[in-house]
Amino acid sequence: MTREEMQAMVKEVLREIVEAQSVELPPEGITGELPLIGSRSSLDSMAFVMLTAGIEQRLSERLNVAVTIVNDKAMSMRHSPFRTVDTLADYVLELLREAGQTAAGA
Amino acid sequence: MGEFSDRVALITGTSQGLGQFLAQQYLAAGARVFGCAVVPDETLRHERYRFAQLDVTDEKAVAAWVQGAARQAGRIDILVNNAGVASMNHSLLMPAETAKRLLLVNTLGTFLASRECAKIMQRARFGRIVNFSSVAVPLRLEGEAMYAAAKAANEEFTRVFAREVAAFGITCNAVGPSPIPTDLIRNVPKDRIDALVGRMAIKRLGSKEDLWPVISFLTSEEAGYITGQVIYLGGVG
Repeated sequence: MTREEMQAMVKEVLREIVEAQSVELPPEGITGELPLIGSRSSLDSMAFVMLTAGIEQRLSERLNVAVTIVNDKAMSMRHSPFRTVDTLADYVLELLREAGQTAAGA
Repeated sequence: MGEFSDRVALITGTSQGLGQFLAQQYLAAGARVFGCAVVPDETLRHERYRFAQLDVTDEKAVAAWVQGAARQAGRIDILVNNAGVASMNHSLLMPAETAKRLLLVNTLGTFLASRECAKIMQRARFGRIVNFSSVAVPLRLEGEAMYAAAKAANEEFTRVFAREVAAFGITCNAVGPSPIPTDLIRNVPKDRIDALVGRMAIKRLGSKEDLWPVISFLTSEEAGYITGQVIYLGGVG
């Protein structure tokens, strides 16, 4: 999966949640820089849960790979991978790479 | 078909004892059942039953099991966190590894499966989760300090988790069985069991069949207004 594809997937999941939960977005809408956590985020904790669960579900269905996005590694990183749409996409790509390596090594 | 026709139920610890009994009950009631255990399941065979060998304390394995079930069945309606281990030993004689295992299997395992299933359940805005406590908690059973501590942790997890997932249409309750003649209590001396039964309102050991009414009720569609509750069997608590 390319970076662009992952970014598109994160945005697609986010779009569904925004519609279902009537989330109020900034005027520029869903961009790569959209904050996902912190005081500037439009998402409440429910929406954030739905976002990460939605991404995990898509990865499971499309790539047949089980990843847990909010994991110990993410919580201990100096800069949270959940800052924006793009940082989240990059982080999930990293998790996918790790999962692939694990499978190859097994 | 029965009351759980077309429902998808995940049950941990189905290789034997209560877990296997519960799997059979759900199958008989029409559900599609995904079971797991740390040891192979040599006995239960059914066209609507799938078994996976895994350790419920292994985060990756639990995630893969739950997501795999969701992929195959399209959704998950019910989770019964039955997998557990017991060890009866005075605290001053309990090795750290045993204590750790009690906490990991009974409590971390319950947390991991609940977390992963709730992620799937929230999409359908429906879910029924049942966790396991034990009468060892309200009876404050000597010799089971760490087992009771792990089960007490399950109770509090149940209460708080119930609040966290209520908005998703998911209920989470716990049952606290009295001793049931399974492998879990095989090594407990008879006089200890007798003393325990003496403290219960209904003075006999429980049976697997005693457990099914409460579990089937808590996981039924109609029980959607009941969450965060702990129900003990045998008139304890």
